[in-house]
Amino acid sequence: MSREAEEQLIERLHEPKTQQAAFAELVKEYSEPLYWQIRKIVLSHDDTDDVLQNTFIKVWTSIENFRGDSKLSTWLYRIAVNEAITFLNKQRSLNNVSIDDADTFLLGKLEGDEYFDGDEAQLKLQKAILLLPEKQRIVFNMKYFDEMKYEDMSEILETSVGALKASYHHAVKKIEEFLTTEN
Amino acid sequence: MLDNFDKSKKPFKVPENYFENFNNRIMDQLPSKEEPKVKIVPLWKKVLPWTAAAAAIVGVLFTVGVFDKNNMPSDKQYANQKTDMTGETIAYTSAQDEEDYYLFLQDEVRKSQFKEMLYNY
Repeated sequence: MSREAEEQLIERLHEPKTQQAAFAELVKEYSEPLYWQIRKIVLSHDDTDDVLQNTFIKVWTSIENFRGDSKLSTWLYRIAVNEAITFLNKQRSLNNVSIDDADTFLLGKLEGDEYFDGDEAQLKLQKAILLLPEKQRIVFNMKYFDEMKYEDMSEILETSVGALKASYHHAVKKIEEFLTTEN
Repeated sequence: MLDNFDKSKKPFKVPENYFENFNNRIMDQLPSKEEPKVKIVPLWKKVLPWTAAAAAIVGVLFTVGVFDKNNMPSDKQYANQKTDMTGETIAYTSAQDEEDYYLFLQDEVRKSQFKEMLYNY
């Protein structure tokens, strides 16, 4: 979406008469990229669907607070990632998992998900990713799968580019070590 | 090793027409945005602080004994006090006092008649 189109959309989102129609456009434009962003964090389709709904409800209820200090897409991604993290925290609490432990309970969900048809190697890669700390996992997904620029990641995750580069470097090292030993 | 992975293969799938259905579904689920309602404060809530303040003041007055009958001046004391203040009003509390009062008035009338006569002649 061009900067100009985004500004017009924001203007219509702030106008009560055009808000509903503008929001329908926003959902149409961003539901798919936000879905994939969330899916890589929570893994199962059903959970992603719940988190995506919560994300858009949050966007709808707080759209008046968006003043355009950042790009609209950045703001949306930030809400989506925060909602996914909130969801994982609740899941950890339900599964009695500490934040410092690996989220391997998600692997069981992934294996039982009818909308995952990865081969053995892809399942192994997901397992390696799940062994990473939460922040490193999000950074790895954004960089490795989405090939997102560090500058964009920095705005979404509100972390310096240097810290993100270091985080990605550590993540890659750990994943490769895991894959080597597993082979 | 990660370079050997074929990233174009997507192991994650979605149900058919998922995004189209989702977009319609979410629009139906949006909470309505109502105008902020004007907060109506019940009358008793408005009056309550004043009532409490008045009750507190009355409580304090009772404590210091303002309404204590024993501390109130009697009618006689009050009458005497009034006489002392003006110097002209005579309090009467008995028949004897009443008679004295009339004598006093007669005396006053006589004095004024005498003054009138003195100034006229």
